[in-house]
Amino acid sequence: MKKLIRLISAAIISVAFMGGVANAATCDGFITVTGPSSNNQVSCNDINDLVVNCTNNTVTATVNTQNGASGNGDVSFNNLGGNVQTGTVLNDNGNQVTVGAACGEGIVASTGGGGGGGGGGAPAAPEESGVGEALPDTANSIVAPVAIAGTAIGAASIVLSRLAVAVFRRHDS
Amino acid sequence: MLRKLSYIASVIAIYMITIGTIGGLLYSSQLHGEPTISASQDQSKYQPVTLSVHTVSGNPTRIVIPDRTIDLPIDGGAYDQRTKKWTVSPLHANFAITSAAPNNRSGTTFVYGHGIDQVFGKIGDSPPSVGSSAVVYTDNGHVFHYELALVQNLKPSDTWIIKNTAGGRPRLIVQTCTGIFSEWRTMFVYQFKEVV
Repeated sequence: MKKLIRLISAAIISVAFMGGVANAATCDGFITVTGPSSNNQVSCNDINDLVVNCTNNTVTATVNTQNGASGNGDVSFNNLGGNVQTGTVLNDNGNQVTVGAACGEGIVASTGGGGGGGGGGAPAAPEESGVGEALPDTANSIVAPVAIAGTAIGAASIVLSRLAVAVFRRHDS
Repeated sequence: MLRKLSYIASVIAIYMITIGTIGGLLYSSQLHGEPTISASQDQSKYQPVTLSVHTVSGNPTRIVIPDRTIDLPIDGGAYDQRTKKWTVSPLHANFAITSAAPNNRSGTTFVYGHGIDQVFGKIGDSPPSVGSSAVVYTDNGHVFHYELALVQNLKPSDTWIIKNTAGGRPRLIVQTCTGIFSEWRTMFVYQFKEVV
C-alpha cells in the first residue's frame, strides 16, 4: 500500500513539474505605435513556485525547461520609417525543490525489491527465512526467576514444615 | 518451639506463593499489552542522506554507543531451528547473520544483546536521546556511523522486523529486552549517517 502511495505521489509530483514546464510559456505582445523615440517593451515574468513536502524515500526528477522567444515586431502606419527593435528576452529559470522527509518511516518491514542497476551492486541479500518464530530472547529479568523460585521454595517449606511437625509429634508421643 | 517455627515457615511460604502468583499474573498481562513507543519520533531529526554510489560493506566486529559508554565486541548470531532459540552471547553483542551486513547502500543490520549492564542494559534502562550516535566497526577496517531515529517496543512474536532485511535505506537496529519481566523487545532504530 505504501509503495502504491509512493508511486502515486511520484506521478503527481512529475505531473506537477510538467505543469511547471507548460506554464513557462512565451509571452506575446504587440507593438502598435512606432516612430522616432518610441519605446515599446514586451515583458514576460513568469514565476513558478512549487513546494514539495514528501515523505519517505520520495524520488523526484526535476525537469524544467524554458524557452524564450522575442515576439515579432508588427509595424503599422509606418510613414516615417522608424526602426523597430524587438525586446530582450530574459528567462530567469530558478528552480528550488525542497524535499523533506516530514514523516519518519517508523519501524516498517523492508519491502525488499529495489537494488537498482549500476553502481557496484548491493551487498548479499539475506534470506527471509531463518528468523524463527520469536525475536531473540535477550532477557535480563530477575523477577520472573525469583517468582518461580519463591513459589517452589514456599511449596517446599510447607511440605517440610508439615513433615517436621509430624516427626515432632511422633517423637513427643 | 518446632510448632512455632513450622507456623512461621508456613506463613512465609504462603507469602511467597502469593507473590509468585501475582508476579505470574502481571507477567501474562504485560505480554498481552499493546506495544508502546517509548521515545517519540522527532521529525526534525530526519535529514536527507546522500547514498554513495560506491558500496562499502563489512562484517561487524564491534559496536560503540558513546552516550551510554557501551563498547562491545560483536559475535555472529542466528536462529537455531532445532532448539527454536537465538544465539545470545552472555557478554557480547550479536549480529544476526541473516540480516544485512553494515553498508552504505541498503538493508537493515540487526544487532542484539542481553539487557544487562555489561551488554545493552544501559540503553534499555535509559534510552539514548534521538539523534545520538552509534558506531559499528567492521573486519575490513570501515567505521559506520549511525544516528538514533526512534525507539520502539515490540512483542517477542514481532519477527517481521527481521524478515527481508535486504531492502530499504541502510540502517542499524539494536535490540535488547526491557520491562519488568523482560517482556518487551525494544528496538533502537538508527539511520545510516556515514562510513569512514
